[in-house]
Amino acid sequence: MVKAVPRRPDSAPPLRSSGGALAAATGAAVITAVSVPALAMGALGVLSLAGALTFGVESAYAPGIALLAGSVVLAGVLGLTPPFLLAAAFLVLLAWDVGKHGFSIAREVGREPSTFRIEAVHGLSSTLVYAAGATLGYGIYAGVTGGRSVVALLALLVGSVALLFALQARK
Amino acid sequence: MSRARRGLLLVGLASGLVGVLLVASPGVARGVSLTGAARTAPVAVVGVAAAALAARSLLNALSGDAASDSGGKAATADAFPSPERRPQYDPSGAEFARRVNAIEWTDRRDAEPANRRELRDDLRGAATSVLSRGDGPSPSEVETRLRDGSWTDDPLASAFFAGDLVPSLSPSGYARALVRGEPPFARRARRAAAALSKRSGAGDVTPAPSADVRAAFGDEPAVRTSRYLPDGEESLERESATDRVHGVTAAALAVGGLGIVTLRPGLLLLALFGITVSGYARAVPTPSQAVAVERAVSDAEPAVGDEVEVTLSVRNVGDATLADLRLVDGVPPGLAVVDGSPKFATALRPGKRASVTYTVEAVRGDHAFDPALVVTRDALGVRKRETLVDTETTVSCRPPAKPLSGRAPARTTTRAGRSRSDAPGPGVEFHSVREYRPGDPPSRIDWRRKAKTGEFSTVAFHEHRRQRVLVVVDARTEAYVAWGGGGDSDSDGDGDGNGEPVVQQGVAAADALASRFRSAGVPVGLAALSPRSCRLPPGRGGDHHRRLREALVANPAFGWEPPDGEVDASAAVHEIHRRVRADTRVVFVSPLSDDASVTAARRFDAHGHPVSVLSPDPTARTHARGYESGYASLARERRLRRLRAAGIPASDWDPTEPLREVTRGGQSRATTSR
Repeated sequence: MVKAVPRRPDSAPPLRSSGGALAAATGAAVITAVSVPALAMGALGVLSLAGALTFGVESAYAPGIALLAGSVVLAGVLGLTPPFLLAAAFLVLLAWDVGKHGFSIAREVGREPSTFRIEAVHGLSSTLVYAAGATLGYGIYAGVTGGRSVVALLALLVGSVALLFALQARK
Repeated sequence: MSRARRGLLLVGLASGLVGVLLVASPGVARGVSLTGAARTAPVAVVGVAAAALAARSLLNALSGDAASDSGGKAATADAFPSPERRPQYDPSGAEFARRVNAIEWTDRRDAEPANRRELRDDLRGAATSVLSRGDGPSPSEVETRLRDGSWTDDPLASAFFAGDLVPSLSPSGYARALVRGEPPFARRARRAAAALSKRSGAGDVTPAPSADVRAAFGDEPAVRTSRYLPDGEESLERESATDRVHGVTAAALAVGGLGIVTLRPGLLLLALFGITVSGYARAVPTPSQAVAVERAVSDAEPAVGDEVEVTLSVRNVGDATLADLRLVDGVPPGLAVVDGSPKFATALRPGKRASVTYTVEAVRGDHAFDPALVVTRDALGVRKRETLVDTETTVSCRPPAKPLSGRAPARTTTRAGRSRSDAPGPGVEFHSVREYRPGDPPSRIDWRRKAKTGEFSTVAFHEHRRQRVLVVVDARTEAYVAWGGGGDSDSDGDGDGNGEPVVQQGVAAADALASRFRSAGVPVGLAALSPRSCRLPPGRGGDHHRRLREALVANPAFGWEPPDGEVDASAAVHEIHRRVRADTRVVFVSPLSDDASVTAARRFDAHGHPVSVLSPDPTARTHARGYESGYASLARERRLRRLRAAGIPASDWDPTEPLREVTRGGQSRATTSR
């Protein structure tokens, strides 16, 4: 049985998924690096993700993503413009999804069989879905910045919150 | 969807539409201008509401997790099937290692640390029997030596018996123990067990636990596909949605709420991701499970040790593309995968086929494949469907009959028959001379001696009696001990769980014994001491023998998976006793891995059956021995000695050697011990 050199634990996600997730996370950290605290949070998040992916510790993955999300929020509070914010959030979500998918592959399929097809299909689909979300956000942003109607904003607010809650798929 | 939620959905849609309308034609809203509190209050209220909803959503997700965990099948719910490995058999001594590991720092606070006391009492028993063996000091002398620690030069080992149950350490010693993370009492117990095994003449025994035990405690148990879904046959299918959606939604709500409160439009926009993901999760259907699975094996009746190629192919028979299809074949517990993997993953368009090939090594037994587990997910992986697809395949591997040559053991029943027994009585072959007792037949009085000495004496001959034999195989959970060293004989040396239970050695021995008794013309039967019952009363003839061998191969009692549940040894022995004639000789094949096996043998004896014990040694192949394996060998030796002291001939068998030698040796020991 030929094993990859250097040997990674069996619970570590496949290399492609790990690489993709790390690249997305790094991108998000770079975009949100508008201040020292945000940069620190982002860098910590990326480090934590790298550790989780390398050593196959799934429980360390969510905290890393939370740190990255925190850096996105911090950047937003500090006034990062919405297009960048949307891009950063898009990348964080992608890292979260691809990484979790990688962990599920490691858990259920293991290392030996080729998992390229499902990784590719999943990566493409999640990119599409999240890109749709980001585009929607950007469209609204572009529309609202022209008009500046508070009532419109309020209506959109109520609408988005109510939709979010009503749409939650709960069995 | 509940009514409240439907209302919320309508409000959301309407409000959203109004917003879009206002954005599209700002003139409509020009008349309405909000100022002051009316301008800020609604924003704040919606923001706080969003944050509250986020918290609720998070709580829901968490409690949902907790509910699914406490669903009763917690042990199997999380562990995904890993059928490529054999079930994890405990290495010998694992029970002892568990007891040592169970010693905790907090035990010391108990007034009477019961588990510490029991551990020490057991080790003291072992020590007494080891130390009083060779040079033979009396038990009281041994006790003195244990107390003053002169029995070993290892200070920690001697402190185990000499010191307190809660050792008192110097502050620096205590600090070192804290750093080591192991209670000093447990450390001393390990050292004492290792020192004792060294004293008893076992080779390299380290005070550290062996790699096998560490692997057994660290590895997750192998899960069969048929045990994966709850309730077995009832539900062959399960649908579920991941919590990832809830997590993203909660985060989106929280961030949106924060954006509203801090008046950062960018953050508010992030809430849209939540809408996108939730909407996707709602809209996407659960993936279809329309797949056809076929399995082919290269050889359905291989010989032991042959490699069998298994090809599993799956075809998408539905109309939708399966974006994420994962397949786990239900490899039977006895068959270990030696090449390839029984798992695979792919995306399949309608009508397409994919297949996987892996190789298993055939071992004795009938191996019926479990259903294959098919897991399909949508493209984003938020919904999954797990289905068990049954395709029946059986690999049946029967070793050829190998009767042992040599004379059948001469322990017999009380009835007259053809076999020469060791019992003195009437017959033709000289056995012994004893004092005359009134009632002895005159023909057996030694008249020559009477003429010479004037005293009566009686000559006894080997009596001829008939034998009936019942071979009882110990197949309780406790007997499924790993036949040592299965892991480190592997090429990669990491012990990937392809060990063998020593029960299989016992089954092979039972097979050989049955063949030998048969060739000697002795009626032989078979029984299993196991929660899975198997009883075949003694019989003769080709058909009976074939049935017996079939049972050894196909009966689940002798399977590769340890049985579920406990069995009371005494009750099981009584049950077996009731079904055979009281004079049936019992050959009990047991690794003697616990005291209950000794009880079982003695119960057979108590019921009046002539008993002999054949004990395959589970540590015969073990090379790197830890303290626990050393202790297990000591305990097993003590059990053998206890049996022999009770007049039950017990042979210690190293399964790497042919059985013939041992039963001969056992035979001679049997005659000397009687």
